[in-house]
Amino acid sequence: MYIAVIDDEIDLVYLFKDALSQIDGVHVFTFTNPEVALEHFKINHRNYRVVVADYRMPSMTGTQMFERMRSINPGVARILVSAFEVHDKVFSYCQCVDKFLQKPVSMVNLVDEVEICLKMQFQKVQKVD
Amino acid sequence: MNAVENGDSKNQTYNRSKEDEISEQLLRIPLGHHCLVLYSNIETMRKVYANYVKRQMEDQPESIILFLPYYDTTENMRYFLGQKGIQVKEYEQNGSIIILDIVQAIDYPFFEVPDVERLRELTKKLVNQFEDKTVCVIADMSVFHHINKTSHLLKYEKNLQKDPKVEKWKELCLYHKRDFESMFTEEESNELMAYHKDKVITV
Repeated sequence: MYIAVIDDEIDLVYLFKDALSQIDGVHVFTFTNPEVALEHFKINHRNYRVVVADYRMPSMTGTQMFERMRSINPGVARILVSAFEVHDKVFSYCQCVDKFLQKPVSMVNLVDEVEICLKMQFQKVQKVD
Repeated sequence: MNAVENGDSKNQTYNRSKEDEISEQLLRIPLGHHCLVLYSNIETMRKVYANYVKRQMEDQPESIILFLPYYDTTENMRYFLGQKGIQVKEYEQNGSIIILDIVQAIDYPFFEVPDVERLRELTKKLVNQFEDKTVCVIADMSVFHHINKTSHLLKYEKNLQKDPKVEKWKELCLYHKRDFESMFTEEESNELMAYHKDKVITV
């Protein structure tokens, strides 16, 4: 199971990876460039379960990247992280965001949210089977 | 097993000949040299390294390949090499191929040197352990950007060819082009290019 963390703030990428790597059975890939993340997602999307990305990044926003990821594989959970003082309702119009987390994000909260996404996906797969 | 999506057949034909050409270039790099490999596409790089490893094992069976991926899991890497007809398990068992996640390699706590230098220590350890063999290190250096160690990396990259004990190994440092552009300023990038001169290969 792959998880991607995409943020142009290197320190945060490192922190997020460290926290998420505690989850059993996952491999966390990190990216500071959304274009590289998209490229990796495109060729590995069947292995991805969750993508965590910052909203404001160079070359494209987190939601623009999520839109493209959704068109490749809509089954992957997408968590948006942002420092903006906005309520998650602002992103509710956007179907590409499954969850919104406001910075600063506690690592415990991040791990909890990702684990919830993984559980929900597992349940979906079981229902289909 | 992990799915690998392929491009159209025209693209594959183009990539096949390009893979051969680049593998040939990499094989020709003499021992004791360090080379920058800048790739623009993860999928193409996969094809190149699989081709290179196959050729290296066929042409120089006495060598050891230490492979340190970043954008591929070690499991994926074994799969891609296997797809190329390489007997990965057999080579791993006899020690000819060592596949290790680069994050684990630089996290290895038993070398009392900073992260980037651990790569050098690991290589030296292999060279000393297998005196009759040559070692080829293929390492994806993008990891150093993501752990915020670019300044250490820059020093490392600029001192590699000055090590007098390198004659039994060669090192191919892989960088995704976009990471390379983000990791280094234009000035640093030009410095690195000038330092490596003809040892820069673009994929």
